[in-house]
Amino acid sequence: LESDSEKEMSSERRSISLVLILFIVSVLIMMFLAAQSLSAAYMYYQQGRIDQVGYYVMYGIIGVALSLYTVAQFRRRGHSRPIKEPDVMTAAECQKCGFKNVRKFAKGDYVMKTAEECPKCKEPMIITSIYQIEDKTKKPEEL
Amino acid sequence: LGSLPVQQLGGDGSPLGYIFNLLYLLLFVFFMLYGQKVQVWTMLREIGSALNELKRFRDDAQNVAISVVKEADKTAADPTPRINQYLEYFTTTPIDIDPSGIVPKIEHILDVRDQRFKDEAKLLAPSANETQIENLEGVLEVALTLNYIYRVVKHFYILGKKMMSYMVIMQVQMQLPLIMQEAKAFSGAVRAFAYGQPIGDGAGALVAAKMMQGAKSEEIAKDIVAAEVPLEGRRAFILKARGPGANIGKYGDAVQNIVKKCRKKVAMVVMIDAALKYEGEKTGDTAEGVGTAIGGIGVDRFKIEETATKFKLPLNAVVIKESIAESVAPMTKEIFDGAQTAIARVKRLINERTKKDDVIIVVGVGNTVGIGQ
Repeated sequence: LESDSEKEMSSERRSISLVLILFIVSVLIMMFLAAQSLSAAYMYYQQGRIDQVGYYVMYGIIGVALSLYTVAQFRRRGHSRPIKEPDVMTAAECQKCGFKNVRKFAKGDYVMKTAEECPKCKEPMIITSIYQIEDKTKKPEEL
Repeated sequence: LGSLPVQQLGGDGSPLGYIFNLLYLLLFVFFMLYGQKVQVWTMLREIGSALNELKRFRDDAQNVAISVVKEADKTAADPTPRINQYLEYFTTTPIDIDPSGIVPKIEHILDVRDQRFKDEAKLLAPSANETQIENLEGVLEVALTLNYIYRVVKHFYILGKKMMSYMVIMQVQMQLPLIMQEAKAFSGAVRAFAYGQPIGDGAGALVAAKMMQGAKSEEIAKDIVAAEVPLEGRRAFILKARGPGANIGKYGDAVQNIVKKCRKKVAMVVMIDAALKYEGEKTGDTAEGVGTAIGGIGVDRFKIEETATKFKLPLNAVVIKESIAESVAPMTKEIFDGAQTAIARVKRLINERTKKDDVIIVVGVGNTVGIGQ
Protein backbone atom coordinates (compact mmCIF):
# COMPACT_ATOMS: atom_id res chain seq x y z
CA LEU A 1 0.00 0.00 0.00
CA GLU A 2 3.07 2.23 -0.11
CA SER A 3 2.29 5.03 -2.52
CA ASP A 4 3.99 8.18 -3.77
CA SER A 5 2.15 10.27 -1.24
CA GLU A 6 3.46 8.05 1.56
CA LYS A 7 7.01 8.51 0.28
CA GLU A 8 6.29 12.21 0.26
CA MET A 9 5.20 11.89 3.87
CA SER A 10 8.41 10.09 4.85
CA SER A 11 10.55 12.84 3.25
CA GLU A 12 8.39 15.24 5.17
CA ARG A 13 9.35 13.45 8.37
CA ARG A 14 13.02 14.25 7.59
CA SER A 15 12.17 17.93 7.36
CA ILE A 16 10.42 17.55 10.70
CA SER A 17 13.83 16.87 12.32
CA LEU A 18 14.93 20.36 11.18
CA VAL A 19 11.79 21.80 12.69
CA LEU A 20 12.59 19.86 15.87
CA ILE A 21 16.06 21.48 16.09
CA LEU A 22 14.55 24.93 15.56
CA PHE A 23 11.93 24.12 18.18
CA ILE A 24 14.56 23.07 20.74
CA VAL A 25 16.66 26.19 20.05
CA SER A 26 13.65 28.49 20.45
CA VAL A 27 12.59 26.78 23.68
CA LEU A 28 16.14 27.15 25.03
CA ILE A 29 16.20 30.84 24.09
CA MET A 30 12.82 31.30 25.76
CA MET A 31 14.07 29.57 28.92
CA PHE A 32 17.26 31.65 28.91
CA LEU A 33 15.33 34.91 28.59
CA ALA A 34 12.92 33.83 31.30
CA ALA A 35 15.81 33.05 33.66
CA GLN A 36 17.43 36.40 32.84
CA SER A 37 14.14 38.15 33.46
CA LEU A 38 13.70 36.51 36.87
CA SER A 39 17.26 37.36 37.84
CA ALA A 40 16.68 41.00 36.75
CA ALA A 41 13.52 41.02 38.86
CA TYR A 42 15.53 39.90 41.86
CA MET A 43 18.14 42.58 41.21
CA TYR A 44 15.51 45.34 41.01
CA TYR A 45 13.88 44.01 44.13
CA GLN A 46 17.15 44.42 46.01
CA GLN A 47 17.43 47.96 44.62
CA GLY A 48 13.89 48.68 45.81
CA ARG A 49 12.56 49.41 42.28
CA ILE A 50 9.26 47.64 42.74
CA ASP A 51 7.76 49.04 39.47
CA GLN A 52 10.32 47.06 37.44
CA VAL A 53 10.07 43.89 39.59
CA GLY A 54 6.46 43.31 38.54
CA TYR A 55 7.27 43.41 34.82
CA TYR A 56 10.25 41.11 35.02
CA VAL A 57 8.55 38.57 37.31
CA MET A 58 5.64 38.50 34.87
CA TYR A 59 7.94 37.90 31.86
CA GLY A 60 9.89 35.28 33.75
CA ILE A 61 6.84 33.30 34.84
CA ILE A 62 5.22 33.53 31.40
CA GLY A 63 8.46 32.41 29.74
CA VAL A 64 8.96 29.39 32.05
CA ALA A 65 5.31 28.35 31.85
CA LEU A 66 5.22 28.70 28.07
CA SER A 67 8.43 26.66 27.62
CA LEU A 68 7.22 23.87 29.89
CA TYR A 69 3.80 23.81 28.25
CA THR A 70 5.33 23.69 24.74
CA VAL A 71 7.68 20.83 25.69
CA ALA A 72 4.82 18.91 27.35
CA GLN A 73 2.60 19.37 24.28
CA PHE A 74 5.38 18.22 21.96
CA ARG A 75 6.09 15.12 24.03
CA ARG A 76 2.41 14.20 24.30
CA ARG A 77 1.88 14.40 20.54
CA GLY A 78 5.00 12.48 19.65
CA HIS A 79 4.22 9.61 21.99
CA SER A 80 2.10 6.83 20.51
CA ARG A 81 0.86 4.14 22.82
CA PRO A 82 1.15 0.51 21.73
CA ILE A 83 -2.09 -1.26 20.79
CA LYS A 84 -2.96 -3.23 23.90
CA GLU A 85 -5.00 -6.41 23.90
CA PRO A 86 -7.71 -6.47 26.58
CA ASP A 87 -7.85 -9.31 29.10
CA VAL A 88 -10.77 -11.54 28.15
CA MET A 89 -12.26 -14.14 30.49
CA THR A 90 -14.39 -17.20 29.81
CA ALA A 91 -16.98 -18.40 32.32
CA ALA A 92 -18.10 -22.03 32.04
CA GLU A 93 -21.00 -23.29 34.16
CA CYS A 94 -22.18 -26.75 35.07
CA GLN A 95 -25.89 -27.06 34.26
CA LYS A 96 -26.29 -29.81 36.85
CA CYS A 97 -24.60 -28.57 40.04
CA GLY A 98 -24.16 -24.87 39.17
CA PHE A 99 -20.36 -24.93 39.56
CA LYS A 100 -18.78 -21.95 37.76
CA ASN A 101 -15.25 -21.84 36.42
CA VAL A 102 -13.83 -18.49 35.29
CA ARG A 103 -10.59 -18.70 33.33
CA LYS A 104 -8.65 -16.83 30.65
CA PHE A 105 -10.16 -16.92 27.17
CA ALA A 106 -8.70 -19.63 24.95
CA LYS A 107 -8.93 -19.65 21.16
CA GLY A 108 -11.94 -21.70 20.07
CA ASP A 109 -14.09 -20.67 23.05
CA TYR A 110 -17.55 -19.36 22.28
CA VAL A 111 -20.75 -18.76 24.23
CA MET A 112 -22.94 -21.91 24.39
CA LYS A 113 -20.01 -24.19 23.58
CA THR A 114 -19.77 -27.44 25.52
CA ALA A 115 -16.57 -26.98 27.49
CA GLU A 116 -14.44 -28.98 29.92
CA GLU A 117 -15.88 -31.43 32.48
CA CYS A 118 -17.21 -30.17 35.78
CA PRO A 119 -14.65 -31.09 38.47
CA LYS A 120 -17.48 -31.79 40.94
CA CYS A 121 -20.00 -33.92 39.05
CA LYS A 122 -18.00 -34.78 35.88
CA GLU A 123 -20.76 -33.43 33.61
CA PRO A 124 -19.67 -31.30 30.62
CA MET A 125 -19.96 -27.60 31.39
CA ILE A 126 -21.30 -24.91 29.03
CA ILE A 127 -19.59 -21.59 28.33
CA THR A 128 -22.13 -19.02 29.48
CA SER A 129 -20.16 -15.82 29.08
CA ILE A 130 -17.02 -14.37 27.53
CA TYR A 131 -16.21 -10.83 28.62
CA GLN A 132 -13.31 -8.44 28.84
CA ILE A 133 -12.00 -7.15 32.13
CA GLU A 134 -11.71 -3.40 32.14
CA ASP A 135 -8.35 -1.92 33.07
CA LYS A 136 -9.17 0.05 36.23
CA THR A 137 -5.81 1.88 36.07
CA LYS A 138 -6.61 3.21 32.59
CA LYS A 139 -7.23 6.93 32.36
CA PRO A 140 -10.23 8.12 30.35
CA GLU A 141 -9.45 8.35 26.63
CA GLU A 142 -8.25 11.74 25.46
CA LEU A 143 -9.93 12.89 22.29
CA LEU B 1 12.42 51.69 19.63
CA GLY B 2 9.89 54.27 20.59
CA SER B 3 9.57 55.54 24.09
CA LEU B 4 6.06 54.11 24.54
CA PRO B 5 6.95 50.39 24.49
CA VAL B 6 10.06 51.08 26.54
CA GLN B 7 7.98 52.75 29.19
CA GLN B 8 5.38 50.03 29.09
CA LEU B 9 7.67 47.04 29.02
CA GLY B 10 10.42 47.43 31.59
CA GLY B 11 11.33 51.05 31.08
CA ASP B 12 14.77 50.78 32.67
CA GLY B 13 16.83 51.10 29.47
CA SER B 14 18.69 47.82 30.21
CA PRO B 15 19.65 45.40 27.33
CA LEU B 16 17.14 42.85 28.60
CA GLY B 17 14.38 45.44 28.48
CA TYR B 18 15.30 46.27 24.87
CA ILE B 19 15.26 42.57 23.93
CA PHE B 20 11.78 42.18 25.36
CA ASN B 21 10.55 45.26 23.57
CA LEU B 22 12.04 44.06 20.30
CA LEU B 23 10.48 40.60 20.74
CA TYR B 24 7.14 42.19 21.51
CA LEU B 25 7.20 44.24 18.32
CA LEU B 26 8.45 41.36 16.18
CA LEU B 27 5.78 39.03 17.52
CA PHE B 28 3.13 41.67 16.87
CA VAL B 29 4.20 42.06 13.23
CA PHE B 30 4.70 38.30 12.79
CA PHE B 31 1.24 37.37 14.02
CA MET B 32 -0.33 40.19 12.05
CA LEU B 33 1.19 38.88 8.81
CA TYR B 34 1.43 35.14 9.45
CA GLY B 35 -1.16 34.50 12.19
CA GLN B 36 -3.40 32.35 10.00
CA LYS B 37 -0.44 30.42 8.61
CA VAL B 38 0.67 29.58 12.14
CA GLN B 39 -2.83 28.28 12.83
CA VAL B 40 -2.69 26.21 9.62
CA TRP B 41 0.72 24.76 10.57
CA THR B 42 -0.54 23.87 14.04
CA MET B 43 -3.63 22.15 12.60
CA LEU B 44 -1.56 20.34 9.97
CA ARG B 45 0.75 19.07 12.68
CA GLU B 46 -2.23 17.79 14.64
CA ILE B 47 -3.70 16.08 11.56
CA GLY B 48 -0.25 14.68 10.69
CA SER B 49 0.17 12.98 14.06
CA ALA B 50 -3.42 11.64 13.86
CA LEU B 51 -2.59 10.32 10.39
CA ASN B 52 0.43 8.45 11.75
CA GLU B 53 -1.83 6.90 14.37
CA LEU B 54 -4.39 5.93 11.71
CA LYS B 55 -1.62 4.34 9.62
CA ARG B 56 -0.52 2.37 12.67
CA PHE B 57 -4.09 1.11 13.19
CA ARG B 58 -4.39 0.18 9.50
CA ASP B 59 -1.02 -1.63 9.45
CA ASP B 60 -1.86 -3.48 12.65
CA ALA B 61 -5.19 -4.66 11.20
CA GLN B 62 -3.42 -5.74 8.01
CA ASN B 63 -0.83 -7.73 10.03
CA VAL B 64 -3.55 -9.38 12.11
CA ALA B 65 -5.39 -10.35 8.89
CA ILE B 66 -2.18 -11.91 7.51
CA SER B 67 -1.58 -13.87 10.72
CA VAL B 68 -5.22 -15.06 10.78
CA VAL B 69 -4.89 -16.36 7.20
CA LYS B 70 -1.59 -18.09 7.99
CA GLU B 71 -3.05 -19.68 11.10
CA ALA B 72 -6.27 -20.81 9.38
CA ASP B 73 -4.46 -22.32 6.43
CA LYS B 74 -0.83 -23.18 6.98
CA THR B 75 -0.41 -24.28 3.36
CA ALA B 76 -1.74 -20.98 1.95
CA ALA B 77 0.56 -18.85 -0.22
CA ASP B 78 1.71 -15.42 1.01
CA PRO B 79 -1.62 -13.59 1.46
CA THR B 80 -0.13 -10.05 1.64
CA PRO B 81 -0.72 -8.94 -1.99
CA ARG B 82 -4.28 -10.29 -1.98
CA ILE B 83 -5.07 -8.66 1.37
CA ASN B 84 -3.66 -5.35 0.09
CA GLN B 85 -5.94 -5.67 -2.92
CA TYR B 86 -8.88 -6.48 -0.65
CA LEU B 87 -8.30 -3.35 1.44
CA GLU B 88 -9.07 -1.17 -1.57
CA TYR B 89 -12.44 -2.78 -2.37
CA PHE B 90 -15.40 -0.48 -2.71
CA THR B 91 -19.16 -0.78 -3.10
CA THR B 92 -21.32 1.67 -5.00
CA THR B 93 -24.90 2.23 -3.95
CA PRO B 94 -27.70 2.24 -6.57
CA ILE B 95 -28.76 5.49 -8.18
CA ASP B 96 -31.50 7.14 -6.12
CA ILE B 97 -32.82 9.92 -8.38
CA ASP B 98 -35.89 7.69 -8.86
CA PRO B 99 -36.11 6.12 -5.39
CA SER B 100 -39.06 3.83 -6.13
CA GLY B 101 -37.96 0.21 -5.86
CA ILE B 102 -34.49 1.03 -4.58
CA VAL B 103 -34.54 -1.43 -1.65
CA PRO B 104 -34.34 -4.62 -3.79
CA LYS B 105 -31.49 -3.00 -5.73
CA ILE B 106 -29.59 -2.23 -2.53
CA GLU B 107 -30.28 -5.76 -1.30
CA HIS B 108 -28.93 -7.21 -4.53
CA ILE B 109 -25.74 -5.18 -4.34
CA LEU B 110 -25.26 -6.13 -0.68
CA ASP B 111 -25.79 -9.82 -1.52
CA VAL B 112 -23.20 -9.63 -4.30
CA ARG B 113 -20.78 -7.83 -1.97
CA ASP B 114 -21.33 -10.38 0.77
CA GLN B 115 -20.75 -13.30 -1.57
CA ARG B 116 -17.69 -11.65 -3.10
CA PHE B 117 -16.14 -11.04 0.33
CA LYS B 118 -16.87 -14.61 1.39
CA ASP B 119 -15.27 -15.94 -1.80
CA GLU B 120 -12.22 -13.75 -1.28
CA ALA B 121 -11.81 -15.03 2.27
CA LYS B 122 -12.12 -18.62 0.98
CA LEU B 123 -9.50 -17.92 -1.68
CA LEU B 124 -7.13 -16.57 0.95
CA ALA B 125 -7.48 -19.62 3.19
CA PRO B 126 -8.94 -22.52 1.15
CA SER B 127 -8.71 -25.14 3.89
CA ALA B 128 -10.14 -22.98 6.69
CA ASN B 129 -13.45 -24.02 8.26
CA GLU B 130 -16.70 -22.01 8.04
CA THR B 131 -16.22 -20.23 11.39
CA GLN B 132 -12.62 -19.28 10.53
CA ILE B 133 -13.75 -17.93 7.16
CA GLU B 134 -16.49 -15.84 8.79
CA ASN B 135 -14.09 -14.46 11.39
CA LEU B 136 -11.49 -13.72 8.71
CA GLU B 137 -14.18 -11.83 6.82
CA GLY B 138 -14.79 -9.78 9.97
CA VAL B 139 -11.08 -8.98 10.33
CA LEU B 140 -10.85 -7.98 6.67
CA GLU B 141 -13.95 -5.77 6.93
CA VAL B 142 -12.43 -3.94 9.89
CA ALA B 143 -9.07 -3.59 8.09
CA LEU B 144 -10.91 -2.26 5.03
CA THR B 145 -12.74 0.33 7.16
CA LEU B 146 -9.51 1.45 8.86
CA ASN B 147 -7.79 1.72 5.48
CA TYR B 148 -10.68 3.81 4.17
CA ILE B 149 -10.55 6.21 7.13
CA TYR B 150 -6.77 6.52 6.70
CA ARG B 151 -7.07 7.23 2.97
CA VAL B 152 -9.76 9.89 3.39
CA VAL B 153 -7.87 11.75 6.15
CA LYS B 154 -4.61 11.48 4.17
CA HIS B 155 -6.37 12.88 1.08
CA PHE B 156 -7.57 15.98 2.91
CA TYR B 157 -4.24 16.37 4.73
CA ILE B 158 -2.26 16.41 1.49
CA LEU B 159 -4.87 18.50 -0.31
CA GLY B 160 -4.92 21.05 2.51
CA LYS B 161 -1.14 21.14 2.56
CA LYS B 162 -0.87 21.66 -1.18
CA MET B 163 -3.46 24.43 -1.21
CA MET B 164 -2.58 25.74 2.27
CA SER B 165 -6.32 26.14 2.53
CA TYR B 166 -7.54 27.11 5.98
CA MET B 167 -11.08 25.88 5.18
CA VAL B 168 -10.05 22.40 4.01
CA ILE B 169 -7.67 21.85 6.93
CA MET B 170 -10.05 23.23 9.52
CA GLN B 171 -12.85 20.88 8.44
CA VAL B 172 -10.65 17.82 8.97
CA GLN B 173 -9.17 19.15 12.22
CA MET B 174 -12.61 19.83 13.69
CA GLN B 175 -13.84 16.32 12.90
CA LEU B 176 -10.62 14.66 14.05
CA PRO B 177 -11.75 13.73 17.60
CA LEU B 178 -14.77 11.84 16.23
CA ILE B 179 -12.74 10.22 13.46
CA MET B 180 -10.08 9.06 15.92
CA GLN B 181 -12.69 7.74 18.35
CA GLU B 182 -14.19 5.62 15.59
CA ALA B 183 -10.79 4.44 14.34
CA LYS B 184 -9.71 3.45 17.87
CA ALA B 185 -12.93 1.49 18.27
CA PHE B 186 -12.36 -0.39 15.01
CA SER B 187 -8.74 -1.02 15.92
CA GLY B 188 -9.96 -2.75 19.10
CA ALA B 189 -12.33 -4.90 17.06
CA VAL B 190 -9.63 -6.49 14.90
CA ARG B 191 -8.42 -8.92 17.56
CA ALA B 192 -11.94 -9.70 18.78
CA PHE B 193 -12.78 -10.97 15.27
CA ALA B 194 -9.42 -12.70 14.90
CA TYR B 195 -9.89 -14.68 18.13
CA GLY B 196 -13.65 -15.15 17.75
CA GLN B 197 -14.58 -13.22 20.91
CA PRO B 198 -18.12 -11.86 21.34
CA ILE B 199 -18.35 -8.10 20.71
CA GLY B 200 -20.70 -5.53 22.22
CA ASP B 201 -22.83 -5.45 19.07
CA GLY B 202 -23.70 -9.10 19.71
CA ALA B 203 -25.79 -8.27 22.80
CA GLY B 204 -29.06 -9.02 20.96
CA ALA B 205 -27.68 -12.29 19.57
CA LEU B 206 -26.58 -13.24 23.09
CA VAL B 207 -30.10 -12.69 24.44
CA ALA B 208 -31.48 -14.94 21.68
CA ALA B 209 -28.79 -17.58 22.30
CA LYS B 210 -29.66 -17.69 26.00
CA MET B 211 -33.39 -17.89 25.25
CA MET B 212 -32.98 -20.75 22.77
CA GLN B 213 -30.48 -22.67 24.92
CA GLY B 214 -31.05 -26.42 24.65
CA ALA B 215 -33.66 -26.13 21.88
CA LYS B 216 -33.15 -27.50 18.38
CA SER B 217 -32.47 -24.75 15.87
CA GLU B 218 -32.65 -24.71 12.08
CA GLU B 219 -31.63 -22.27 9.37
CA ILE B 220 -34.71 -20.42 8.10
CA ALA B 221 -33.09 -17.67 6.05
CA LYS B 222 -29.55 -16.92 4.90
CA ASP B 223 -27.29 -17.17 7.99
CA ILE B 224 -30.28 -16.99 10.39
CA VAL B 225 -31.26 -19.81 12.72
CA ALA B 226 -34.57 -20.15 14.53
CA ALA B 227 -35.65 -22.30 17.46
CA GLU B 228 -39.22 -22.87 18.58
CA VAL B 229 -39.40 -22.75 22.37
CA PRO B 230 -42.22 -22.57 24.93
CA LEU B 231 -42.03 -19.17 26.63
CA GLU B 232 -44.37 -18.01 29.42
CA GLY B 233 -47.09 -20.33 28.06
CA ARG B 234 -46.70 -18.99 24.50
CA ARG B 235 -45.05 -20.44 21.42
CA ALA B 236 -41.95 -18.37 20.67
CA PHE B 237 -39.71 -18.42 17.63
CA ILE B 238 -36.29 -17.21 18.70
CA LEU B 239 -34.13 -15.89 15.87
CA LYS B 240 -30.44 -15.09 15.74
CA ALA B 241 -27.62 -15.07 13.22
CA ARG B 242 -25.82 -18.40 12.87
CA GLY B 243 -22.83 -18.48 15.22
CA PRO B 244 -20.18 -18.70 16.41
CA GLY B 245 -18.64 -17.14 13.28
CA ALA B 246 -18.93 -13.41 12.56
CA ASN B 247 -22.37 -13.37 10.94
CA ILE B 248 -25.19 -10.87 10.69
CA GLY B 249 -27.71 -12.69 8.50
CA LYS B 250 -30.94 -11.65 6.81
CA TYR B 251 -33.42 -10.96 9.59
CA GLY B 252 -35.96 -9.48 7.19
CA ASP B 253 -36.30 -12.71 5.23
CA ALA B 254 -36.37 -14.76 8.44
CA VAL B 255 -39.27 -12.76 9.95
CA GLN B 256 -41.15 -12.89 6.61
CA ASN B 257 -40.69 -16.68 6.44
CA ILE B 258 -42.00 -17.28 9.96
CA VAL B 259 -44.97 -14.95 9.51
CA LYS B 260 -45.84 -16.69 6.23
CA LYS B 261 -45.50 -20.07 7.93
CA CYS B 262 -47.74 -19.11 10.88
CA ARG B 263 -50.09 -16.88 8.85
CA LYS B 264 -52.17 -14.68 11.18
CA LYS B 265 -51.28 -16.46 14.42
CA VAL B 266 -48.27 -14.22 15.22
CA ALA B 267 -49.30 -11.88 18.05
CA MET B 268 -46.12 -9.86 18.46
CA VAL B 269 -42.56 -9.33 17.23
CA VAL B 270 -39.93 -8.37 19.82
CA MET B 271 -36.54 -7.21 18.62
CA ILE B 272 -33.49 -6.98 20.88
CA ASP B 273 -30.42 -5.06 19.78
CA ALA B 274 -27.49 -3.05 21.07
CA ALA B 275 -28.09 0.69 20.86
CA LEU B 276 -25.72 3.62 21.09
CA LYS B 277 -25.91 5.28 24.47
CA TYR B 278 -25.64 9.00 25.02
CA GLU B 279 -22.69 10.32 26.98
CA GLY B 280 -23.41 10.07 30.69
CA GLU B 281 -25.61 6.98 30.34
CA LYS B 282 -24.57 3.67 31.85
CA THR B 283 -23.34 0.79 29.68
CA GLY B 284 -25.60 -2.25 29.89
CA ASP B 285 -28.74 -0.29 30.79
CA THR B 286 -31.80 -1.46 28.90
CA ALA B 287 -34.65 0.51 27.37
CA GLU B 288 -37.94 -0.44 25.75
CA GLY B 289 -39.84 1.01 22.85
CA VAL B 290 -41.83 0.30 19.74
CA GLY B 291 -40.58 -0.15 16.19
CA THR B 292 -37.74 -2.09 14.64
CA ALA B 293 -34.49 -2.26 16.58
CA ILE B 294 -32.02 -3.03 13.82
CA GLY B 295 -29.17 -1.11 12.25
CA GLY B 296 -27.50 -1.51 8.89
CA ILE B 297 -28.34 0.07 5.58
CA GLY B 298 -32.09 -0.54 6.01
CA VAL B 299 -33.01 -3.58 3.90
CA ASP B 300 -33.93 -5.82 6.86
CA ARG B 301 -35.72 -2.98 8.59
CA PHE B 302 -37.74 -2.31 5.45
CA LYS B 303 -38.75 -5.96 5.11
CA ILE B 304 -39.71 -6.36 8.77
CA GLU B 305 -41.73 -3.14 8.74
CA GLU B 306 -43.43 -4.18 5.51
CA THR B 307 -44.39 -7.60 6.95
CA ALA B 308 -45.55 -6.06 10.24
CA THR B 309 -47.71 -3.51 8.42
CA LYS B 310 -49.21 -6.12 6.11
CA PHE B 311 -50.22 -8.44 8.98
CA LYS B 312 -50.83 -5.63 11.53
CA LEU B 313 -48.20 -7.06 13.87
CA PRO B 314 -47.14 -5.01 16.88
CA LEU B 315 -43.39 -4.35 16.77
CA ASN B 316 -41.70 -4.01 20.14
CA ALA B 317 -38.05 -3.38 20.86
CA VAL B 318 -35.67 -3.80 23.78
CA VAL B 319 -32.22 -2.23 23.49
CA ILE B 320 -29.03 -2.64 25.49
CA LYS B 321 -27.07 0.60 25.70
CA GLU B 322 -23.38 0.87 24.88
CA SER B 323 -20.88 3.26 23.29
CA ILE B 324 -19.57 2.96 19.75
CA ALA B 325 -16.21 1.75 21.07
CA GLU B 326 -17.91 -0.91 23.22
CA SER B 327 -20.03 -2.08 20.29
CA VAL B 328 -17.01 -3.35 18.38
CA ALA B 329 -14.71 -4.24 21.29
CA PRO B 330 -14.87 -7.57 23.17
CA MET B 331 -18.08 -7.63 25.18
CA THR B 332 -17.90 -6.18 28.69
CA LYS B 333 -19.38 -7.66 31.86
CA GLU B 334 -21.92 -4.80 32.01
CA ILE B 335 -23.27 -5.74 28.57
CA PHE B 336 -23.51 -9.40 29.59
CA ASP B 337 -25.49 -8.37 32.66
CA GLY B 338 -27.57 -6.09 30.44
CA ALA B 339 -28.46 -9.09 28.27
CA GLN B 340 -29.83 -10.86 31.36
CA THR B 341 -31.97 -7.83 32.19
CA ALA B 342 -33.17 -7.70 28.57
CA ILE B 343 -34.40 -11.32 28.83
CA ALA B 344 -36.47 -10.41 31.90
CA ARG B 345 -37.91 -7.39 30.06
CA VAL B 346 -38.83 -9.50 27.02
CA LYS B 347 -40.63 -12.00 29.27
CA ARG B 348 -42.50 -9.21 31.06
CA LEU B 349 -43.45 -7.65 27.73
CA ILE B 350 -44.79 -10.97 26.46
CA ASN B 351 -46.80 -11.52 29.65
CA GLU B 352 -48.29 -8.06 29.56
CA ARG B 353 -49.05 -7.75 25.85
CA THR B 354 -49.98 -11.25 24.64
CA LYS B 355 -52.27 -14.09 25.62
CA LYS B 356 -51.53 -17.74 26.38
CA ASP B 357 -50.90 -19.91 23.29
CA ASP B 358 -50.07 -16.89 21.13
CA VAL B 359 -47.17 -17.09 18.70
CA ILE B 360 -44.33 -14.65 19.39
CA ILE B 361 -41.27 -13.86 17.29
CA VAL B 362 -38.19 -12.82 19.27
CA VAL B 363 -35.34 -11.46 17.12
CA GLY B 364 -31.87 -11.17 18.66
CA VAL B 365 -30.11 -8.72 16.34
CA GLY B 366 -26.35 -8.27 16.09
CA ASN B 367 -23.06 -9.73 14.99
CA THR B 368 -22.89 -13.20 16.45
CA VAL B 369 -19.10 -13.61 16.54
CA GLY B 370 -18.19 -15.83 19.50
CA ILE B 371 -21.82 -16.68 20.25
CA GLY B 372 -23.15 -20.10 19.34
CA GLN B 373 -26.68 -21.46 19.67
